[in-house]
Amino acid sequence: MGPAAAVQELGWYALRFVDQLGKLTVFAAQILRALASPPVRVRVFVQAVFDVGVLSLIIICVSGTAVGMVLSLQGYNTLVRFGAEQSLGAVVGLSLIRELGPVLTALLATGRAGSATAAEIGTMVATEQLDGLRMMAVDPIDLVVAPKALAMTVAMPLLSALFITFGLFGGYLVGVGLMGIDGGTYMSSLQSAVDFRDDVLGSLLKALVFGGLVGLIATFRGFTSAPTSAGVSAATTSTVVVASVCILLFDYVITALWGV
Amino acid sequence: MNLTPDAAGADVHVALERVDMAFGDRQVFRGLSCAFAAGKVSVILGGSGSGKSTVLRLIGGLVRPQAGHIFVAGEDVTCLSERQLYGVRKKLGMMFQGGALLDSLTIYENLAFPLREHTSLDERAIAAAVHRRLDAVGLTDVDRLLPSQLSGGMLRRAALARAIILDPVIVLCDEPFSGLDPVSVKRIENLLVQINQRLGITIVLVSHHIASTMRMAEHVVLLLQSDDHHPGTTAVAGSPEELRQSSDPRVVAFLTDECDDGDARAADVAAGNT
Repeated sequence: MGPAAAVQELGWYALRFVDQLGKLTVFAAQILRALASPPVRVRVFVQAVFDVGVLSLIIICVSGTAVGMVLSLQGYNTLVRFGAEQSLGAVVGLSLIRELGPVLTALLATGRAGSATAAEIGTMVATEQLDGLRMMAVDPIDLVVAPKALAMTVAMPLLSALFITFGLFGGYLVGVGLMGIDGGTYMSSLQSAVDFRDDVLGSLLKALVFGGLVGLIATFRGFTSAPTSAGVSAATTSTVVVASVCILLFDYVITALWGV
Repeated sequence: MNLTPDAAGADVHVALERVDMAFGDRQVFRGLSCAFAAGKVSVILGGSGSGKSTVLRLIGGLVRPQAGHIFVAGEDVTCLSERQLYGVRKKLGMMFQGGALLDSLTIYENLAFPLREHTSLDERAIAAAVHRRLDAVGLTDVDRLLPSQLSGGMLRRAALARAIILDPVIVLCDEPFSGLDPVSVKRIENLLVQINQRLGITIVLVSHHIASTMRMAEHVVLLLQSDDHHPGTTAVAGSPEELRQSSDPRVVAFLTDECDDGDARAADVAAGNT
């Protein structure tokens, strides 16, 4: 490939990126308009929260406990070199609350619920169910897309809080039960290091942003997928890849801007 | 021959005027004009890729043409926004090829859904309306079943029941007979004719099934692709009898080719059962 062709290729990718970004923005505006205007679809929303949140509980709880345990183990082995093992609670707590909780929850939710959302909507496209809704004078964004995107946004902070709670529990199990740190020391270190407003609320805010991102990307990819089995498959894969990268990029941006 | 429905003395319910349609680089048709009469059963015929299903999607406003006008019950749908189109779509019912029923809802819920969305009927009235439509298409004891639990023929009938649940003035049917056994074909065919006759609903359907078309259609639109002698897509329209007696070599070739497939359709046509 010559330099001219390479530039041409780059330009084409840039154009496609801008095109997709524009469509995503319009799509987000359509979701917001659907959410702001009647009818309020409570039943559909509750079902979507169940699909996104309740069905992700096991993976979130197990992963949270495992991450807390390994964090405690690694933290203890490092802190003990400096004689600072009493700070284990603070290390585990701050790591989980400020960073690992929201990020890992968002990545796990993307893999489980985000991909499922994209596949479900993509299948509805492929089987003409969304066209069927349009022909019944029902806006598919209002009925299908908006409740799912909102459910993801609402469920993410709750899942993240659960992940962090189980992580702290896992860290306590290893630090206190296995490594022999005093339980009171672990808890007081955790309590004194964590600030509710800066750390806990900031963490929930991060999770809220990630939830909105995953909900938007998953529904957009499903909604715009090609009406074939390959199209649904591509939408699902692309949801996981794009949402994961966006979560990590936005994590940096939020941390840099707001210090969360 | 290019008899339009108004030439046959009926009001036009749906009309396409010089419509150009393309998907990306692929031109589906250019300059297509045709019309469908009110209260009649009209069938769109044409070879694979001639854009038959696209005509239905254009009428429903699911896709937009590159040029031309499409009039549905007096309104030019090409000039309407998506929101404005919902008003027109309330007058339409569409039976998709695969049914397009919501797969997470039961058959009852699928039929009740449009009523809950667009009417203020209470649950008792909704139940009565749903069962009336299910009875009309010959489906019983399917309330609690999911679409995936129905056979192909039953699924089409359920889709037809949903298409007529809001008493539309026009029903669009995309390949209602494809993949069905002869008994199911005949059953759907009778249902469509009954619905047309009893409720006076305009039916526009797309089909490959020549035998059924010739039996049930009052008006046929045959889409013919452009060639060296005929620029733009041509819609040859008329009654089934007029089409059969046509001297247009392209019409003769289409009917002959379709009937040379060696399937039941050929036997039907040759035996004059059409």
